[in-house]
Amino acid sequence: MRIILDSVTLCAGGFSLSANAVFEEGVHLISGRTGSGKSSLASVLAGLSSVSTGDVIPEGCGSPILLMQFPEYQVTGSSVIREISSWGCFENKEFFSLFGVNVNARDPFTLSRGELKRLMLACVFAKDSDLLILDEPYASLDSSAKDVLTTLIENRRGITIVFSHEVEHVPRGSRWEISKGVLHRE
Amino acid sequence: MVPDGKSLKGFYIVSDIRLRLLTLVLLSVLSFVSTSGAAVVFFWWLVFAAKTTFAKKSWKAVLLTSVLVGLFPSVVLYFSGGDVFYGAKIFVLVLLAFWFSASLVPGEFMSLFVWMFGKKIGFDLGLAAEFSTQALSEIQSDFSHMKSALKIKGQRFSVFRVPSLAMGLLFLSLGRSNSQSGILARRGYISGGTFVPVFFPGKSDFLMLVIAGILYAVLLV
Repeated sequence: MRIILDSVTLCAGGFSLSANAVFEEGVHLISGRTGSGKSSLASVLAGLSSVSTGDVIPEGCGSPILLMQFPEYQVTGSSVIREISSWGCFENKEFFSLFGVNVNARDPFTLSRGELKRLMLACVFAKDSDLLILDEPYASLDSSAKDVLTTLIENRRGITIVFSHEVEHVPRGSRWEISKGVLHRE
Repeated sequence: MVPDGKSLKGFYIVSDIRLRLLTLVLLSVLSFVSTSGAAVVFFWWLVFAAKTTFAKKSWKAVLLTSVLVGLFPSVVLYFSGGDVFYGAKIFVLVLLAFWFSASLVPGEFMSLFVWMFGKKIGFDLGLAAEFSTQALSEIQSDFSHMKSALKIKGQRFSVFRVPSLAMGLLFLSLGRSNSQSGILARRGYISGGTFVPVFFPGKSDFLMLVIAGILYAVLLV
């Protein structure tokens, strides 16, 4: 299982990004300045947007799952229970307890940013996808939730691509950087 | 680099909002007062404005909104014995509104209002207008992300999703407004401020205005 970026270029707004890369099974950490195109690349890898040139070739991967930078984007349920059910992942309950999510009838929009982020993280991990893309997953989390997240990322099967600015809580894996409009392996 | 009315990354940038606004007013009046004027303005839009409009806005949204907004009064007036071409006039007015909105560049409202009303009221109006246009553009971007999020979950957009998506949009907008107001307060903003309006009229601005003026003169004066 792997995903290949073959001579890919992305041009949008004020940036241009080119990438030639192969993401094999395991953890890949991608860093880069704000505005360097991390979220756009995440969207391309998730199959949600198209590239300007080149090809994105997924080999042996099922449907990708993307955790967006802002958890509010992904809320479609009117309660925490309905939100979890909208992801279709009620059977993997351990992730909700690991992230300290209270599964109840509370409106997700009354949760704090951190609580909402933990809810979304629990949902995407519970989906157990072959290809998991996390866009700034550590943002809005406290230290203990960051530790939980790092452990889960490191122990996951399949391909996990993490876009992050985080410097303290960093999962073990391949390091990539976007600099001067090019994605390269460190 | 300063945009000068030439092509910038494939989009045609018109850079003097004053000339564009005057063009908009002339064409709107012309379109509203006569059916033949509306037809001529529609051709003006096709020649000068369609490219700019469709470069920034989805053609489906533009045409659907314009037709629906125009169709409703036409149907009502058809049954009540009024001017059935009223809807066609409204249709053209909505197309003009889409063009004006698509041609806006960040900072233009600030320049326009400060130029018109000065550093106090003009600055406040310009700031409010800039924040409003920025918020509308961000809502558009948020909505696009939300549609992607639905796709990730394997769901489709439907009326049942509207309440939760609307709540999301509201919370994100309120959050951003809160941050913006915090920044303004920390910088000591109360009312008014210093801003130097800058305009870069291009040849296309004058061409569009002159054509609009000629059409106005021929058909109305």
